[in-house]
Formats: sequence, C-alpha cells, structure tokens
Amino acid sequence: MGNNSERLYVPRLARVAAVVDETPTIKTFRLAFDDGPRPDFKCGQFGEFGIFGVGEATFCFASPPDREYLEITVKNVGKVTRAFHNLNEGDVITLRGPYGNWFPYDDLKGKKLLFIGGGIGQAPLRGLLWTCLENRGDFEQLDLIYAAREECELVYERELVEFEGRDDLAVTLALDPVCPGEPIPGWRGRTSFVPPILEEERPSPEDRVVITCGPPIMIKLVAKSLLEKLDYAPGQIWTTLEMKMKCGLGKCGRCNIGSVYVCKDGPVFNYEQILSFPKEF
Amino acid sequence: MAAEYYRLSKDKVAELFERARADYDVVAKTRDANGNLVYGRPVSFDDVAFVDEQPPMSAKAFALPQTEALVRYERENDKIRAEGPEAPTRDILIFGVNMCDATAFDIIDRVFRWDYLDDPYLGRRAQTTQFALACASIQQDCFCDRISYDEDGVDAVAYDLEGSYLIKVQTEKGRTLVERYKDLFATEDGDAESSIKAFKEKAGTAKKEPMLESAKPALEKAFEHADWEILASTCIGCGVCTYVCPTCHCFDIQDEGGSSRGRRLRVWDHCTGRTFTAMAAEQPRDRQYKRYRQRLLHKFWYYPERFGPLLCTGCGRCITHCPVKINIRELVEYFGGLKDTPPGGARHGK
Ligand SMILES: Cc1cc2nc3c(=O)[nH]c(=O)nc-3n(C[C@H](O)[C@H](O)[C@H](O)COP(=O)(O)OP(=O)(O)OC[C@H]3O[C@@H](n4cnc5c(N)ncnc54)[C@H](O)[C@@H]3O)c2cc1C
Ligand code: SF4
Ligand code: SF4
Ligand code: FES
Repeated sequence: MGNNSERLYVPRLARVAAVVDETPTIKTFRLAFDDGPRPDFKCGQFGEFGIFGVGEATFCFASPPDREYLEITVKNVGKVTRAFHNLNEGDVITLRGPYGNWFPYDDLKGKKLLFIGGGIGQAPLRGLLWTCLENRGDFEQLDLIYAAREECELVYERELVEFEGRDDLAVTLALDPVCPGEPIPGWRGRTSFVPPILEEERPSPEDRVVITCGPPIMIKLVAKSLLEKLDYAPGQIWTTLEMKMKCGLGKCGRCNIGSVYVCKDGPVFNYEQILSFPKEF
Repeated sequence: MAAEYYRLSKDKVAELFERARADYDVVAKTRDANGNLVYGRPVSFDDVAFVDEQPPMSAKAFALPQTEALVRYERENDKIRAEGPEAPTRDILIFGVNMCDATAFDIIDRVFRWDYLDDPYLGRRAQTTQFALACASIQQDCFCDRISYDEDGVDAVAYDLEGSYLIKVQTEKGRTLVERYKDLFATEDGDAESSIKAFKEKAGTAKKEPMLESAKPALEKAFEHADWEILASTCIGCGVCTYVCPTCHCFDIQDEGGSSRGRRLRVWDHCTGRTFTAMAAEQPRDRQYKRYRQRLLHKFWYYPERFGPLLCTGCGRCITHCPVKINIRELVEYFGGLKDTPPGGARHGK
C-alpha cells in the first residue's frame, strides 16, 4: 500500500460517463478520467468519492479490475448519496483511493467458492466474481446465492440473467419471504432468507471458501449458520465490513473496531479475525 | 541527538522572546480579554504569561487547527481546479508550552505519519519548535506522574531552578533555537540530570507506580464489563473532553461552499457524539456508555497497541472540564485492575 502521493486529500476528478438505474434506491455510475488512466485497484478495495460542495462518501470499486471502465454502485441513504443520485452524464465527481486491502485471490485458487450477496452487498463481490469467471480454470466450483428484500431490489439484474444462463456458475436467487413458505407470484427464484437455504443445500465445507457481503444482520446469521450448523471453520469465511469512514487513510479515527482500523486493515476480513475483535459490531 | 544542557538567566527570557519574533511566528500563553489563559500570539513580552499554569485549551491547534482547508476548488469555464492547502510561510515557536501539550505532538505525529503521510499536518509540524516550561508543581487533576511518557521528542525544555532556567535541548530544532541566540545562553557545568530529577521530585511530577500503562492487560479483558454502563452512562456526549485534550485528533471532512467554488475542510470531531459512527444500516455504538468506552479504550488500549505510548499525557483537562465530572484516571485504574473500588466509593459491580 503506502501510496504517499504528496497531497493526500486532493482528489482526482472523474466524469460520469453513464448512469444505470439498478433499483428504486440504487444506481451504478460508470466513470471516465480525462486526466490520465483510471486508477488501478484490486477486488475489495474502496475509495472516497465526492461531489464538491456536498462532501465525500465511501464506495467500493464495483467493477472488475481488468476492465477499461470503472464503476461504482450507490445506494441513496443520506446527504452525499442523494447528491450522487442527482448526477447526470458529464457531471464531475472527486475520487481519492484506492484504499484498504483486497480479497486474497491467490489463496482462493483451486478452491470451491460460494459467494453470498445481500442487496447492495453484491457490489464489493461483483469484481471478484467476474474475475473468477474469467479465470474459471483457477476454481473447482463457483456458486452464487444472491438475496434481496424484493425483486425490484436486485442489483445488476441484467448480469444475473446472464449468470443464470451459464453452466459454470450455479446461481440461487432469493427474496425475503413476506409470508414464510408462500411463493411470490411470477418470481423465478426462491422465497427464503439465506440461512435456511444453506441448511437445506448443505454445501460441504470441504475445500470450500465462502465470500459474503450484505446487511450486517445477514452476515452475522450466515456466519452463524455456517459455523454452527454446517461445520465450517471461521477461516473459511471472508467478508467485507462497513464502518463509518471519513479519511480512508487511518487518520480520522472513525472506523476502528478495537485496535483494528477497518479502512487500513480491512475492509476485507477473515471471520477468524472478526471473532477476535471486541464485541462492538 | 544526545541531549545538551544550557542555562538561561531569568532576566534574559524577555530578550529571547523579542528576538525570536524576528525569526519565528511566536506562540505563547497570554491572557485574553476575559482574563483567561490561552495560547495566542502576544506581540510584546509584557503580555506573555511565562508561567507553568495550564490553559484550558491545549496547544494542539497549532499543528491540527480546529478547522483547516484540505482542498480549495474553483470552477473556471466548465473546468474544475482543485488545489491543496498552502504551507505555513514562517516557522512557529511555541514559547513556554506546558509539557503535557509539548509531548502530545509527538504522540499525534505517530498517527499522521503512519503509512500515509498527512501532508497538511506534517508540514506544520516540520516547522514547529517547542520551547517547553516544566511545571514547578503538579496541578489540579493532573496525572503526568502516572504516565511513562516524559520529555520524549520535546525540542527544548526549561526547568525553573530558582535563579535561572536549566535548558535541556533534545532535537536539532531545539539546537537551532539555542544557536540562533547563543549569546543569551550559558553552558551548564553541573550534573544537569540530577538537578532535573530533584526538580521533578519537588514538583511532584516524578514518576509514581503503578504507571497507567500497566492497566492495558486488564482493560483488554474488561470490554464487556457490566460496570461501563453504570459508570459511563452519565456522559452527555458534549465532546468537551476531546476538544480540550492535547492528544485527541479525530476529525471530520466537510465541504463548505457551492458546486463552483469552495473548500473541503478538516474539522475536529469527537467520538463521544451520537453521530460519529451512525450509518444507514447500523449504529455500532448505540448507547452513550459505549461511546465513552471508545474514548477511554482508544487512549489506553487501542492506540498503545499500534503506536506504543498511551494516547494521553495526563494533563487532566478532561477531568477538570467535564460537566458531569467523569474522571478518566479513576476509570482506567478501576477497569484496568489497579484499584478494586470504582470511582464514587462503594463497589457496585458484578
Ligand atoms: C468500505 C465501505 C464500502 C462501501 N461501499 C459502498 C458501496 O459500494 N455502495 C454504497 O452505496 N455504499 C457503500 N458504503 C456505504 C456508504 O459509505 C454510506 O452509505 C455513505 O457514506 C452514506 O453517505 P451519505 O452522506 O449519503 O449519508 P449520511 O447523510 O451520512 O447518512 C447516512 C445514514 O447515517 C445515518 N445518520 C446520518 N446522520 C445521522 C445523525 N445525525 N443521527 C443519526 N443517524 C444519522 C442515517 O441513518 C443515514 O441514513 C460503503 C461503506 C464502506 C465503509
Ligand atoms: S466525558 Fe464529560 S466532557 Fe467528555 S463527552 Fe462525556 S460529558 Fe462531555
Ligand atoms: S485524555 Fe484527558 S488527561 Fe489525557 S491528555 Fe486528554 S485531556 Fe489530558
Ligand atoms: S476512515 Fe479515517 S481512520 Fe479509518
């Protein structure tokens, strides 16, 4: 890491090249750089993205690192994200980064990978999933479970359709049950929370690594299910954590859990590390 | 560099101040219009309070201002220009700074030069020289006698040995200060360290066991202690403790201005406030005692684990100025296993 550019807080400027409406509250932005090549990053890293006059917010790099373009996916939850949702093609945004660590791709090679995404939590997994698909020979098996509250909340819908058509990736889509067990009319996937799916399918822990991101409660329940019901070791689960961040640089003191700075030591963590943290999250 | 020792006679202090003003932007303690002691920029030695009394606000703002522009931006013919902050044009001398404030700079430095170099902060630090005045008696609520950190990193320290000041110089910046006004300083022939030791014994600032560093192993086991809720719930989250603290350095980044012109600012922030970690999906510190616990454990566990010393110089300001009289030293002693009884007397833990 140690990217000691001389002016740490002065951002690069990027132009919005395209906007995709993903869900009523989520948009994906494709960014273009007029002042040189786009920043290089690894799967799992994040940046501080901003709009002058509004402020900065933390988003992960949501596109695969080997593509020409760079994309971020933003959920409208507050001041900065609302301003992002009002952006049009050609508008200018600011960017610092990449910051933080990344998924240990080389250690994952040769394994069976099970991706579990929830809602916008699919964004940090997306780049890695595409990278794995493009290097499919590196992996014995690839599975994806992707869950959302409602059908209109599924992010990257056009890619999910493509994934479902592939024979080298097994896809399970799930929506939160309104009335447990009752199918949702017209829905092609399952109606269930993620833990019951895991406990029913029982993906064996042998040679498998689970990579998950989603709402904190989903991560906790997925890990609980894998550890307690399916005999996974904590070291077989990887996730990315969300804590409030401002600097992304280990300076502002906002993102710590115990002595761990999520922005510097994370955001990607192994569940074994997470279990050793003070019980704060 | 190895420490060097000099003498400065008391009647030369005014001259040192006046002459230093030609070479430095000199900061010193002075009285404001209301008679409060503050670090300011007195223009004459008559307005300087060259005393060991501690001002309510520490000197940290000279390295980490309460508000500073990290970025200035401007739109010109459809193009946005963004620039970093300007470096200070003159060297700064903090003249007569209290030791608890002087040592704090070295402690904050470790965060701002850790991996990523924080250029706005480090730029100012590189231009700051501390000329500290050691306290002749330990003051209300202070506990620097219980914290190992001592003169570490302080450029020059003056010890008031009755007739004259014994000056201990520890860094190149301190040496430059003495070199510049060499005729004002005499060489020290006596056993300077023995004199300093005797000075501290008399002042009450000599180190006393048990040092608060030794609380860390027990604090690491006390995260889920039931008494946090009882003892820290009175905190009202006002943040005063963090603003007066010389070592608290957490900040927010906020924009000021419109889309065509403005500044991206760094502003002091405080972990005891409700919104510090509030996110859309979750608020990990959802109770006030958890926010106070973060402040205490950051100082006595998390920071030392990463950076070595405590994130506290024992200045006692957060005790003196807390509206509900929360006492950080007593809480560290209690949760850190150095005392059996919680602050307030009777044992009410589980
Ligand atoms: C490593 C990392 C990666 C991330 N990646 C993404 C990503 O790819 N896409 C994405 O959309 N998000 C991502 N996030 C989350 C994103 O950073 C936040 O949603 C964003 O910063 C919110 O900024 P905002 O200014 O819009 O919201 P804010 O205006 O700051 O508000 C956010 C929420 O905080 C709460 N809040 C704010 N102020 C207060 C207050 N005064 N009192 C109580 N509650 C308050 C509210 O509930 C509000 O909904 C990521 C976060 C991290 C740490
Ligand atoms: S400890 Fe005291 S000074 Fe600090 S935030 Fe709480 S009430 Fe305010
Ligand atoms: S925590 Fe309290 S005693 Fe320690 S340096 Fe800060 S204000 Fe002073
Ligand atoms: S986001 Fe500032 S320290 Fe981690």
